[in-house]
This record gives sequence, structure tokens and C-alpha cells, in this order.
Amino acid sequence: MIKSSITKQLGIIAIMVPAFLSVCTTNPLFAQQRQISGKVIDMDNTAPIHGANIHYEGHRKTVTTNFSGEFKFNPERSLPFKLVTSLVGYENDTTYVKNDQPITIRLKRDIKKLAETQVYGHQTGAKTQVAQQVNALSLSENRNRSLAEVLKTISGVQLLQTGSTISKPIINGLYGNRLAILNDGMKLESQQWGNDHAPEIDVYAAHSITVVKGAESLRYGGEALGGAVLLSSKPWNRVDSLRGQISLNGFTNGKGMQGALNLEGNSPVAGLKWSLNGNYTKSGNRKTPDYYLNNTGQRIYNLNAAIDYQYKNANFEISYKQYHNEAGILSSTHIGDLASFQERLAYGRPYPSEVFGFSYDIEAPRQEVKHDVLQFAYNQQLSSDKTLSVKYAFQNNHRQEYDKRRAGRSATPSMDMILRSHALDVSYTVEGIDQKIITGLQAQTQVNNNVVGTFNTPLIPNYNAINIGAYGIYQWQRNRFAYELGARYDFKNFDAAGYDFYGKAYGGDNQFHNLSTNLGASYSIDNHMILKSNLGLAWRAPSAQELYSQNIHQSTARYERGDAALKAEKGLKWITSLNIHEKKNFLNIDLYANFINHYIYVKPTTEYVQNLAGTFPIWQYSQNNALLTGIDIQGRYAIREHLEYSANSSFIYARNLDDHNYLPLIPPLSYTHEIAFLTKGNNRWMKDVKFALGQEIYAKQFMSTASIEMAPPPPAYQLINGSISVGSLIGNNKLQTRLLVENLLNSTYKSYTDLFRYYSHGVGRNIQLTINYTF
Amino acid sequence: MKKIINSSKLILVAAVLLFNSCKKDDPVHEHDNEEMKTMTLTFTEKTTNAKVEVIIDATDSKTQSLNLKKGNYDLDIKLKDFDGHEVQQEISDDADEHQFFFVGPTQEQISFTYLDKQVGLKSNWKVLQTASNIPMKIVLMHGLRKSAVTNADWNNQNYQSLGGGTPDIAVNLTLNLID
Repeated sequence: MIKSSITKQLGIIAIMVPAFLSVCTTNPLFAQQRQISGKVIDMDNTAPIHGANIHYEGHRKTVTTNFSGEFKFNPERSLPFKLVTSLVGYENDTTYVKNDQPITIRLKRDIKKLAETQVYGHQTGAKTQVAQQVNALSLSENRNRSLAEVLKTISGVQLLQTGSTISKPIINGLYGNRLAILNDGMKLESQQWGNDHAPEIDVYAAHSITVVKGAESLRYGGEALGGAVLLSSKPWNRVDSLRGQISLNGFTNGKGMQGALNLEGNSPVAGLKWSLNGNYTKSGNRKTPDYYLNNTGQRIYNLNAAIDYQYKNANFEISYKQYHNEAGILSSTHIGDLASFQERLAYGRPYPSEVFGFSYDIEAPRQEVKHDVLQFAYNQQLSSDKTLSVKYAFQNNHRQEYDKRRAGRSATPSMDMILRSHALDVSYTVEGIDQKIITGLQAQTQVNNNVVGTFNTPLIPNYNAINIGAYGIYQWQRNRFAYELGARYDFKNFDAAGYDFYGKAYGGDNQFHNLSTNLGASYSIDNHMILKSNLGLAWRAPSAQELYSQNIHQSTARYERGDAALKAEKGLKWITSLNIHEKKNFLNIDLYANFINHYIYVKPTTEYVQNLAGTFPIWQYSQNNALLTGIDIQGRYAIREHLEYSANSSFIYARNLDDHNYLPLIPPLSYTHEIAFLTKGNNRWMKDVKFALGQEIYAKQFMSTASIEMAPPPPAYQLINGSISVGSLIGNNKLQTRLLVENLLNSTYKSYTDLFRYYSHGVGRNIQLTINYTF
Repeated sequence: MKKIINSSKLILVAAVLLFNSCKKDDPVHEHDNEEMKTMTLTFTEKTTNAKVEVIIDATDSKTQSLNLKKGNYDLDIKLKDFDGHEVQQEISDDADEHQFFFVGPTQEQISFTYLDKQVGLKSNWKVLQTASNIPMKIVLMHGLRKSAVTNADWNNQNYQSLGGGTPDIAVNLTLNLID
């Protein structure tokens, strides 16, 4: 039955793909007139440079070089004219075009600029995509943190925390399964259904991180309802000799230590390059201003290795990533019945009898996650304007959670699940002068198995999921306008089976079909202003937990009951973004409205379950129509030569349209700003010096509905941060030293989006010293 | 172009193979050893050997009554999980992180002594006064810091904050002390 329906789906796609391809060949993309063509290469090693931007005098129109560093365009003005070539990490080049002979442009590498350039606003994917890249400086300063903490520097991104060490990003009010996280183009397949499941991402391995705020299920598949996070490794065309980086990092709160090593280089075989990266972190109990948080130690070790081989117009890449995280869970969050929850809530912090001193030990309750990714990518430049890309990834996600249990069972995981997935992604791109067509096919299988022998009823059933999607995107440019139009069809089959507490079988087979579309436009008002607008129709199939959950949540004293009849969520997100930039100054304003049909959330009922451990209220997975709308503002202004002010603010208004109340866990209004003093020293040990003083302000979430909250939102709070960083030169190598103090005033606070705010306060002052040596 | 169509066909074949190669395991019913289904309280009068027994089941919805005449009793508690296995041995093995509390009756009404390592699976109750309709909560705390708790805390209302931990059992009874 399932098999026959899959074969049928494949049949449809088998017809669709050639149909898409034939469109490409018949399209009159390349009407010829006078053409300027050329090639952009690296001045040092003459390697072709992919992705360089070429503008010509007086026009905003930008041409981008292809895989072989080549470009061509039809100029709208007469010869001669000035051509400006730019790319992050290289110095700008100006070339005068006098005739229509092919030109060769040599770009000079700018190492200093690479580390400091503000690449905010750099466009990835389509020109119409509303996306923001994490500032390169901020990324290099925060590599030792979790993905969510790094993304926090972008307006509209907040943290959903489970205590002091586990956090996941919230983008425009949505998180978890409603965000797609892509590592080098392939989606992270992990167990993101739990609020306490941090994404398995090693920030050290990322060269750039971009947040896409539009609902682009079109490119990233279902789940990109709230947006996407794109991580990419350093482009291979920028690897040319043995280079590396050593990072050492120590912090006082938790007495943490961390070391990382990055290496990359060429090989004796022409065209063969490699990179290797490893890091280790160890920390112990964190501390609030008044007490230690017992059992909040953490161990992280990651390993990434990749090989790239370029042969003529073909590029092969194979990479392996391993992520390993072991984290203790604050011991006082494991509670019994509702009465004891309420008693803890009234106390608001661990009882004195539960506060011990500092320790590196990690005991139950704790979680251990291992994530392995084996990825293969093949890119073929078929001709100057056609590219074929094939990517495959195998991911193995092993999650184990340990609880405090009797008779030595604390050493046996109470939850032990292995999620294996295979994903295949094929795309074919035809790129003309002002037009581009991308067609693609994505197929993916997932198998989730509970490891037998936990002596505990599994939280979610075993399941198979199959997902097939086919899409087509058309982009075109007219003068100052760029447009994008795309459509995608997805099919998902979800087959689950499990036994509940009483040994009763449950599960079943679910099918979901969906059509997603995306419509985008961008308008360059002048050389300093771009207006973008994007309308995306996205979807998400319900997760295993939402369908079948039936268990007591130890940390919230509630019994959560799934609903096997849940439908897929469908979201329509409209986002408009205005970007104004001039030199170092910029202002970015994003305005959005996201209407979600069948939004899934947990809602309290008036029923209770009872057992010898007490009485537990039943919370039911339900769905309603919801609206999330808001504004994100981010900017920077150079007050004078050495003084910069930057700020970032976001506000969300979220409503359940059927029940006429607010949605839970929506971050409150926030305002984060920083004043920085930058100067250049006159000796090699004090080359660049930066002093920064920042403030984070979080309002009270006054838009909350008491009936669907476990506790009222905490009051507003502010945190002060300060840092000093010094850049030095040792020979030609760069040494970056940074001293950072977070929560300088050691303020006591609770964050509304911290799920452990019921039991404890946020962490107190932390002093961190980071040393990065790049060679 | 033909080449591409061929390679896309190849990919489709590979995808089909991929789908058939992975299947979920058959689920297994895990026998939950952690949660308890029944608690049996057996009071034995030391001189008359008269027994008073109360059985509390996880599915009980109404509050049961426990009637004790004035006298000197030894209490013995037996616990069973959902598979019917007795689990009190597991609790006495982990005596350093378990303790029963009997919140409701006062020091004047009952003179209480833990007979095991301050766990409460075995205890001595001397009923000194009569009283009726005393709401009594029997709580088994797990993971508490035993050094912070003494014998005198047997009926301490603040059992939760005394040594921390999680209640494994929290049941309500109505206690009647009669002549």
C-alpha cells in the first residue's frame, strides 16, 4: 500500500523533472547583443574566484561570477566604462572597459578586512530573500558558544532556554520543528521536537551563518515555516595554503575551559584540498548571583573533516562531522505532582538543601547526544550557464536521557533513541544574464528507533518517514528590480508504531501532501537603499510527539497528550525589509505577518491523571489558527571616527485567533545596544583595540494569557556587558585577545523564555578570556 | 541534456533503493520499573497482634480511611510496580536517598520512630490520643539530602524543602485515632 503510493509519487516526479529541464532548453534566455565577458582570479594563486560581485558604473545591477570565476553581461551604456569588482575578503578592484575583448580581473586578498568587514546584509540565495548574516567579527568572537547564542546578535532572534546550558533559537516567535537548520546545504535531521533539545551544531565549523526570515519551504522543505538558519564552511576557493587557527578560551562562571584547532591546506595532488577541525569544552556548575546551580556541568567535543577535489569543471566534496554533547540538568527541576510544583514555584529557586558548591560532575538527570553527518557533494559546471549539483547526507542522531532512578537504573537511559536519515538533493541551475532557473528534487528517509531496555515507556514511537519534494524557481532582473517566483510539491509519509504504558499498541500511517510557493521582489531605491518583500506559503507535518505523546513531563508536572488526528500546519508569511547602508552605517527594518493555519500547541484541559506520585493536569496538543506579527530593527551608526553605536530591537504580537488569547513562549520586547570605541595602536602588539560597553533590556511579557501559562511572566530586567579586545601581529600572523564580562553588575533576573525560570534564576557575572591565533 | 535525464533517472532508482533499505524496528512494550501501582500499609499491634491493613492503588479516586485504636503498632509498607513486582527492597537498598513522611498527625497524637535507616518502610507508631478525620499525606521522597533530615521530621510539613528531592509517592488518607 505504502510502496505503491511511493512508486506513484516517484512516477509523477520522474515526469516532472524532465518537464522542468525541457523548459530550460526552450526558454529564450540568451538573446544576444554586445556582451562583456571575463574572468575573476586570485592575484596570488590565479585560482578562479566564484561569487565575486561585479557592478558597472552608474548602475546597481550586479553580476556574479560562476564556478569558474567567469562572468558576462550586456552593458546598457556605451564604452568605455568603469567596472568595480568586490568580494568579502578581497580588496575592491576597479577596471576600465574599453572594448568588448574578454577581461581578466585579478583580486588581491585582504586578510585584515576578512576578519573585520561588516558583512551584514550580504545576500545569499536570491536577491529577494530577506536574510541577514551574522557579523563576521561577532562570529569570530562567539565561536565558543551555542548556535542560538551566536544568532542572538541578529534582531528578531531570541533564545528558548532550558536552564543555563541548553538553548535553541527562536526566529520571529517560532522555534524547534518550525525552523530549518542547514549545514552546508543539507538540513540538520535531529530530534528538534523537544524544547530541551539544542540543535546539534558546532559553530567552530561554520565560516558564515545566515538567518533567513522568510517562510521558504520552497528551498528548504517543510519546517521552514518560521525561517531557516544556513551554516556554511569556508569556500574551497579561499583555501590555498596551509593555514590554521588555534583558539583558547576560559570563563569564570562554570570554570569552563575550551580549546579548538582549525587546519586547512592543499595537497600534493592538484585540485585536492582538505580541512580539519576539532574542539573540546568542559565546564562545571554555573552560578546565579546568589547560589550555584547544581548539576549544570557540560562536556562538548566535536570533530569535522572534509576533502575537496576539483577536476576541470567538476567539484567533489566529502565531509564528516561529529557532534557530541553531554549536559547535566539542574537537579531541582525534577519534581513530582502539581502540589510540589506549586510549592517550588512559590519559592522560585532551589531549596537551601539542594544548593551545593562548585563541581564538574554530571549526574542524573542528564542528557547525552551524539550526532554524526557524512556528506557528499558533487557540483558540475555543465557549460558556462548550466550547473548540476548533487548532494547526499547520512545522519545518525543518538539521544540518551538519564533520570534519577532506583536500583542502579540511573545509569540506564530512560530515553534512548536513534534517528537515522538519508537525504538526497539534486538541483539543476540555468543562469542567464538577467535570469536564472533552478529546478530541484529532494528525497529523504528517516527511521527513528527506541533502543530497547530503558525500563521506561518511550516518549515517542518508532517510525519511518519518507519525504519527497520537487521544486522550480525562476528569478529575473529588470533594472533596479529583482523578482523571484517558485513552487514546490511535497509528499510525506509517516508510519509510526509504539506501545503505551499499559502495553496497548498505537500508531498508524499518515500521508501529507503540500504545495508551497514563494513570491519575492527587491527594489534598489538608490545605491544605499534596498527594499525587499517576500510572500511565502510554507508547511510542516505534525511531529511524532504532537501526534502520539502520552506521558508526564517531569519538569512541568503535567501530562501531555498527543492527538493522532492533527493536520499539517500551513503558514503564510509576508515579510518586508528595508535596508539603508552607507560605509559603516546601516539601518535594517523588517516587518512581518505570519498567519498559521492549524498552529499546533499544548493547551491545558480540566482533566487530571492520577497515580501514586500524585495528581497531574492533562495538557492536550491542539491546533488553532494563529497570527504572529512583529518588527525587527537593527542599526549601526559611527558617531565619530573612533566611536560606534549599534542597537537591535524586536517586538512580536502573537494571537490565537480562535481562542482569542495570546500564544505562549513568545519573547517579550527587547532592546540591545552597545557603544564601542575603536582605535589603532602604533605597535604590533596593539594593532587594533576595541572597548565596548553594552546593555540588554528585556521587557516583561505583558501579552500572556494566565490560563495557558504555568506561571506568570517574570518582571523586566537589564544586563550590562563590557569587553576589551586587542588585535596583535606576530610576524604575519594575527593574534586576537578578548576579555569579556557578561552581567557586569551581577544582576538577579529570570527570562520569560527560560523553561527553568520556575525553579531558578538566570546566571550571574561571567568573565571570559579568549585568545585566537591565526596562522 | 540526455545525460542529465539519464543521471536523474539513476538518482531516482537510487532513491527508491534507499527508501526500501530502511525500516523501523518492531516496537517493544517496555515494562516500567519506576512507577508504583500499589502501596500496602500493614499495622501490627505489638501486644494483641491485631492487624490493620490499607491497600492504596494508583487508580483509586477516593480517599481511604485508616482507623487505629490506641496502642503500640509496627508499620510495614509493601510497594508493587505495574508488573506486580515488589519494589520496597530497591528503596531500602537506596536508603541514603529515600524517606517516607507522614504529614498530618501531631507529635502529641503519635509517637513515631523509624525502624530502618530512617526510610520508613518499617516504623513504630504509638497512638497516644484520640482524634478523628485527620487528613494525612504519606510521601516518599527520592533524592533528598538525608543529612538535613532527622527522625523528628517524620511529620514535617516542609518535607519538600528540608532535603530537596522528588516525591515518588504522594497519597492522601483520612486518619482516625480511636479508643
